[in-house]
Amino acid sequence: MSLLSLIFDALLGLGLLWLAWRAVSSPGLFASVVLFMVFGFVMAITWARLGAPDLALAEAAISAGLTGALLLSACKAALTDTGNDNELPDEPSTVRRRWPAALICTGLGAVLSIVMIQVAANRAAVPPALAEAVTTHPLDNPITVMLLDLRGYDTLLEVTVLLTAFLGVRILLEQTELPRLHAPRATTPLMVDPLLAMATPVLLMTALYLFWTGMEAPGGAFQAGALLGALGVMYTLTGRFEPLDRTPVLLRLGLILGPGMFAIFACLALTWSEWPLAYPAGATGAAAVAIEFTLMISIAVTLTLLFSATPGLHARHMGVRHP
Amino acid sequence: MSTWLAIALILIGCSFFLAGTVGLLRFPDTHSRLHALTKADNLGLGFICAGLAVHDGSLTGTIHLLFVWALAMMAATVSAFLIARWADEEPEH
Repeated sequence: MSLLSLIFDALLGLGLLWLAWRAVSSPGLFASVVLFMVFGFVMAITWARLGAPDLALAEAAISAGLTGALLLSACKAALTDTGNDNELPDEPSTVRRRWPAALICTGLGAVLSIVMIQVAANRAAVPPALAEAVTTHPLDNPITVMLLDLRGYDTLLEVTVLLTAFLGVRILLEQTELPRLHAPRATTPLMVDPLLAMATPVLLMTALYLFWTGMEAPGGAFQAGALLGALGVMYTLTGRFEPLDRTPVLLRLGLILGPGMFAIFACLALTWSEWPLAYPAGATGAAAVAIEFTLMISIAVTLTLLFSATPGLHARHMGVRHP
Repeated sequence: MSTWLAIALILIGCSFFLAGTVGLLRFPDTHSRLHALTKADNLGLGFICAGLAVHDGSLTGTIHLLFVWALAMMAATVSAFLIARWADEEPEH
């Protein structure tokens, strides 16, 4: 049986390398994007095999799913922009930059591999104090303990990066004339309404479950937010969300809710502790749930707006249509 | 006994995936490719889920797998329909 799993793991590893190589070397933009998405799914299986279901979920939802959708969207914009139906011509400047980039990435990969092999060889790399802190923590999921408490500062900066990314996109949107990516259709094709009617409750329920279960099992704000973002992507693609030229107040609040509440909590912690981001004794669970929830909302709103490539969205009321 | 049944079911599922992939690569136009892909996909995944359910043996596991199959079928149906529609609108593909 162990031989079989060894073969499976070897296939996964070689498949990953092959997919990564094909994603950067295949001639077509569209083919590259599809290969990148497949790479994300195989990566998710690899994380699951390595016993990291949290990473597997995040990889599948964010890297393969939402990043894939974003890249497909960018691909469509690039092809619409050039008026070329098939493929983009290779720009000489990107070809020239290819070899230095490959060299830097290989060097970085080699350094990381050496470090990781040393860490793996030295199992005591997890300090006993850290192991103790994780096992005695009121929250049961060690990943959530790390993300929200022990390394809460990192998570605060991560969601700030997400907000900054959206602000960067807003600035770009002001400065460039993007082709209208998801033009509203006069009629909705058959089957789309039933799909949405089915997918909406399923996605909402799964997202809330992932958020709630993240306290004691794999899941959490990032995975749940990505699922809600995927719902937003579906609504944008099917014309349920219409683009706006400005960001409505409610969406602005949604964007800053997570980082804002997290930052306020970090400051408030100074009133009951000498450290920012320290949890109040006895209320760790409640505080963590509240922060996770606001993070989930902000991640979902940011991802949806990033995908729509518009400053804002609003819901369109769809009547009954029969094409 | 149930292990062998599970292996048989999963192998049948894999053969459907193989047939679907060959069809996707070999068939001449969008509609017949979709036909090969969706039939094989749905049946292949169904057999693999059935095999895994037999192997797992628990009721919750079986219900989980049933949901996986149902969701995949739902998504595959709609995307196949939309691709077929698109192929009708742009006949040169």
